[in-house]
Amino acid sequence: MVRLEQSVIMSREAQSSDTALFRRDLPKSGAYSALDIGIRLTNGATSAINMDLLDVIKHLSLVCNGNDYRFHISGQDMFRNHWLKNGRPMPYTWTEKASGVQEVWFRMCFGRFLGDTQYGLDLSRFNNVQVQIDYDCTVWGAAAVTTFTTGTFTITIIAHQFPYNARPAFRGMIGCREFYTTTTAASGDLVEDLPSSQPILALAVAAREDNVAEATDITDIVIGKDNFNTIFTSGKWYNYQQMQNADLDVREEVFDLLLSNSAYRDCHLANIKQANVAPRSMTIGVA
Amino acid sequence: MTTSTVTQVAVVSSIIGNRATMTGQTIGSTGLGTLTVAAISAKACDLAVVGDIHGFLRFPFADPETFEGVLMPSELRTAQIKLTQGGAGASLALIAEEVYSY
Repeated sequence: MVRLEQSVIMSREAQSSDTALFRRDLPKSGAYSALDIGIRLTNGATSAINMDLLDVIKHLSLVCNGNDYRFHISGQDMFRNHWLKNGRPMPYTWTEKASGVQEVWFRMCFGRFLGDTQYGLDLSRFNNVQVQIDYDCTVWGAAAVTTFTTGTFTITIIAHQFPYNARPAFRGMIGCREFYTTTTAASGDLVEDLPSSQPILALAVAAREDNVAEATDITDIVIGKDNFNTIFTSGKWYNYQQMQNADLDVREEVFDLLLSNSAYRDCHLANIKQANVAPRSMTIGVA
Repeated sequence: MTTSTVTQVAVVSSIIGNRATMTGQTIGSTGLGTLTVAAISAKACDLAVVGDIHGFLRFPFADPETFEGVLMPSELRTAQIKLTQGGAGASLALIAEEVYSY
C-alpha cells in the first residue's frame, strides 16, 4: 500500500468573524483519500457552561464545481456518523473552564478506508473543489465572559493524499449528505423519497432532542421500495439502537466541568449505563 | 486533634435521555467535631458517561469492502423511508452515504 502524505492546507487559522460561511478552495490537482478538519473555539474569560462546540457547526460541506455537494452534514450528525461507522469518535475536548479551548475533529473519508486506491477524491476531475464550513458561534449567545471569546473560531484542514508520483486512478468517491431535515411532530408517519441519482451505501437517521428518552420522537423505521411492497429493513428505534451500538469500541465520553449544585449537562450519549462525576480538589489539614 | 478539611462530593442524581443532572456539596471541617456543608458552585469536576450514541441510527446496505448489496439507482426510483413519529420537537435529519463515479 502506498504511504499517504499528510498535507496541511491550513493550520489553526483564527476567523475574525464569529458567524460566517467559511470557504476554502482546494488545489487544482491531487488525489485525496480523506480530509481532516479541526475546529477550536476559546471559552469566555469566566466559563462556558453546557455549551457544545458541535452546535456551532451548522454544516460541513465539500462542494464540487460550485453546486455539487458531495458532503453536506451538520457538526452534530457528522460527529455521530463517524462514531457509529468506525466504532470510535474523532477527538473531542469538552472543557468549561475559564478561557479553555474546546476542540473537535471531523474526517471526510472519500474511500472505503484511509489509503483506498479504488475510491477517493481526484481534484483534477473538477474545475473547482471547495471546503465550506457554515458556523455560528452566537448559538451560544453573544461573545461574553460566560460564552466564547470573539475571533477565536479556528480552523485546521489536513489532506491525506497520495504522493504525486503514485496517484491512483480512482473508480469513484464516497460522499455523505443530508437530504432532508425537519422537526418531528407529536404523531403521524413521515414518508420521504430517497435520493436516486447515485448508488446508496448507507442511510442514517438523526432524531435528537435533549432531555428526552431514546425511541420517543421516532419510534419505528421502515425502508423499502414500491410503496413498501418490498422492505429493505423495518423495526423499532430501540432495537436498532441496541444492535448498532453493540459493535462500538468506545462508548464513553469525558467532560471537564465547572459544576454547580443541581446543574445538568447534555451529552452525546443516551441510554446511559454509567455516569460518574469526580471533583478535582480536596484539602485535608490535621493540627 | 483539630482538623481543617475541605472536600467536594458530587453525584449524578438523575438521567433522562442524554441529560445528566448532578448535585454536589462542599464539606468542610473546621475543628474538632465541627462540620460545614454548602452547595458547590463552579467547581472543577470530571464527568465520565457511558452509553449509546444519542439520537442517531445508521443503516448500512453494502458490504464495506466489496459494496455488494448497494442500493442502485434502478431500485431507488421508488425507494422511500417511513418514520413513525412519537414526540414533537426533535431535530430530524436524513443522511445518505453515496458512491459517485465522477
